[in-house]
Amino acid sequence: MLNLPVLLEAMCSGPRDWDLLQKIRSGPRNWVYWVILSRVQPDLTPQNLKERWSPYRESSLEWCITLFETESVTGVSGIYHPTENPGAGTTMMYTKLRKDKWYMPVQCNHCDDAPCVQVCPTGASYKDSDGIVMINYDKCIGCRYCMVACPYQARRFNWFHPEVPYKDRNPLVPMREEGVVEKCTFCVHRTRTGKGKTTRCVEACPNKARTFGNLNDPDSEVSRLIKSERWWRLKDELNTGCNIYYLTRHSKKRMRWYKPLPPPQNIRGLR
Amino acid sequence: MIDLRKAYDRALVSMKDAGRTYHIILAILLVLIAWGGFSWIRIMFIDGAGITGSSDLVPWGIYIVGFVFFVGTSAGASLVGLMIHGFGRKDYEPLGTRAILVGFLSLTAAVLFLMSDVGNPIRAGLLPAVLRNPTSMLVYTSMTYAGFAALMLSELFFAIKITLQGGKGSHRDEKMAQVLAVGALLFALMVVHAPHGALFAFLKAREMWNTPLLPAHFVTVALASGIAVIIHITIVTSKITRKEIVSKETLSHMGGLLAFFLGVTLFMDFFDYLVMSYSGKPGGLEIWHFLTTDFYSFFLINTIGMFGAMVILLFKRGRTIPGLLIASTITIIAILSYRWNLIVVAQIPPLFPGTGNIYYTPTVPEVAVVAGIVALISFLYLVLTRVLPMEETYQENRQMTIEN
Repeated sequence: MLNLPVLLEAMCSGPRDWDLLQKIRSGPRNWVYWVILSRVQPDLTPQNLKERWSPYRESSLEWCITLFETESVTGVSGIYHPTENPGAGTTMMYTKLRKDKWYMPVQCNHCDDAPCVQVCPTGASYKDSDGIVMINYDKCIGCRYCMVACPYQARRFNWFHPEVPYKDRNPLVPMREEGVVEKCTFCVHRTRTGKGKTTRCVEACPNKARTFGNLNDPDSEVSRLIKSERWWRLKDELNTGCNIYYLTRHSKKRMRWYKPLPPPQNIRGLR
Repeated sequence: MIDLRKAYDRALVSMKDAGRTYHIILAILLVLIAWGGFSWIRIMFIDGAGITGSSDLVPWGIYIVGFVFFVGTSAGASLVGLMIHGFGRKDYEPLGTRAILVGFLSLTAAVLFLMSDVGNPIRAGLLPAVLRNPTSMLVYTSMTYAGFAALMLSELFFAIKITLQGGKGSHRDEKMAQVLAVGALLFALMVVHAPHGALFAFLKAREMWNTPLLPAHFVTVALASGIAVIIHITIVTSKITRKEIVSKETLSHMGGLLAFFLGVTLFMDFFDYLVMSYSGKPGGLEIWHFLTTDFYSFFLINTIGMFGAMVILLFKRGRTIPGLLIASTITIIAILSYRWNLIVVAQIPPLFPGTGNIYYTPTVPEVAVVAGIVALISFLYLVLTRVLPMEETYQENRQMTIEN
C-alpha cells in the first residue's frame, strides 16, 4: 500500500542529506582534522540586539581582528559581516564595528573538497596531508581564480606592496609579496609545532567562542562538541566539506530546521 | 621564394602612400598606447594593483570583460576561413587575410588582458613551466592560446603565399589552407571557446556562472561577435578607402549568418533568464534583481540591442550597407554589455546575507590600460593590412574582369 504522506516527505526531504551527514560523521578519517567551533547566536534579532550587545563583546571582536593582523602580519583573515543589512553602501570589512549590527566570523573553511584548490592553475593552493588548505606564495601568479571560486570569500589579494615595520613582523610567518593571494592558515606556525599550541584567534578570544582541535582524538573538546548535534556549517549544500563548524546556543527550537529527518521506511525502491 | 627586399620596399611605399588621415590616426593610437603602457607600468611596478577598481569582493574587473570579449572575437573571425575553404564561397576570399589578422590580433589582445589582470605577470608568462594542476580549467584554456595562435599564423602564411602567387596557389597550398581553415574553426569553438565557458561554469560559488548553458552560450556569442566585428571593419574600410572589399551579396550573406547566431544566443539568453527568475532560487533571484535594477542599462542594451540587430538583419531590406553597419555596431555594443554583465554582475550579489552593497567601478588607470590594448591591436591591424599583401578586392577583381 502506498503511503502518500511518507512518500511526500521523502520527496521533500530526501534521504540524500541524511546519507551525506552519516558519511560526514562516520567516514574514514585517515588524517588529522582541525575544527574551530564558534559559539554564535542565530536567534539574535534587531529587537533584542541592544540588550545583548555589550561593550565587552564589541571590544572582543576588535581585539580578534587586531590579533589576526598582528599574527599574520598582513591582512585580516576573516570577514566580519553583519547578518542584518547595513545599508551603508559599503562592505563592513576592515571598518570599525558598529553596535547596532551583529557580526559573525567567517574565514577559510579548509574544505575537504576545496573549490580553490580545484581551480588553481599552478597548484599554488593545495591541501596538505593534515587537512589544512595552504598556499605556496612562490607559485601563485595572482590570477584570482581561487578568489572567485571560494564560496566563503575567505581569500585576500595583496593589492599593494606590504609595508610592515620590522618590529611588527612575526618571524615565524613569511612576508607575502604584492600580487599574491593569501588566507587563514590555521596558524600552522603554532599548531604544527607539536607542543599543543592552538591558533591565535582561539587563544585571544575573551569570550572563548572558538575551539580548535583534532577530530581524530576522541578526547578532544571538538570531538565532544561535535556529538552535540547542534552544529551547522556554512553553505553545506555546496558539498565542499568545510571544517569550520558553528555551534548554536539555543538550539532546540532553532535546529529543528537543520536536523536531518530519519530515512523513510516501507517505500519500494528506497533504501 | 619571397623576395624580402622587394616586400620591404613595397611596404614602405604603401605606408607612404597611405595619406594624411591614416598617419594622424596612427599617431593618436600611439599616444593611447603610450598612455596605456604608462598606466600598466604604474599598476604593475609602481603603485600596485590596488589602484584598479577591483577588490577582494570583486576580484575580476574590466580586464576580464575585455578578455572574454576578444577571445570570442578571435574565434568568430575564423568563420570566414571556413566559408572560403570549407564551404567554397569564393566571394569571401578578399576577406581571408583580414579575418585571420582580426582573429590573431584579438587573441593577442585577450592574452594581454589576462597578463594585465594577473598579479605576477612575469611568473604567469612562465605558465607552461609552472602549470601543474590538471583539475584547473585555466590550465587548459591557457594552453590553447599557443595552439590557436600557431594555427592562425600558419593560415596567415598560406594566405599570403597564395596571394603572392596571384590568388591561385598550388594544389598542395590550397589543400593546406583548407585543412587549416577548417581545423582553426573547430579548434576555436571546441578547444578554445567551450572551455572558456566551462572556466566560469565550474564555479559553484557564483550562481550566474554556474550553468551548463554557458559553454554553448560562449560559442554562439563568440561567433556573433566575430562576424559583427568583421562586417564592421569591412564596411568601414570600404567607406574610407572608397573600394568595395566584398560584394553587397557577400555582406548580406554575412548579415544573415549574424542574424542566425544572434537568434540562437537570444534563445539561450531567454531561457537562461527565465529559469533564473522563475525557479526562485535565492542566488538566481539576486542576480535577476541586480540585472533589472542597478545594471538595467547594460541589461537593456544587451537584450534590446541583440534583438534589434537581429530584426534589422532578418529582412533583406535591412541587409543593405547602412543597415549592416548599424546592426554590426549595435551587436558589438550589445555583446560588450553582455560580457560586462556576465563578469561584473556575477560578482555583485553578496555571498553572505548582509555583507553590504558590493560595487565595482573601473578606475582611470584601468581604463587607460584597456584603451592602450585596444589601440595597440588597432594600430597593428592598420599597419599590417597596409604592409602585408592583401587579396584582390571585389572591385579590383571586377575591373580586371571587365578589362579582359
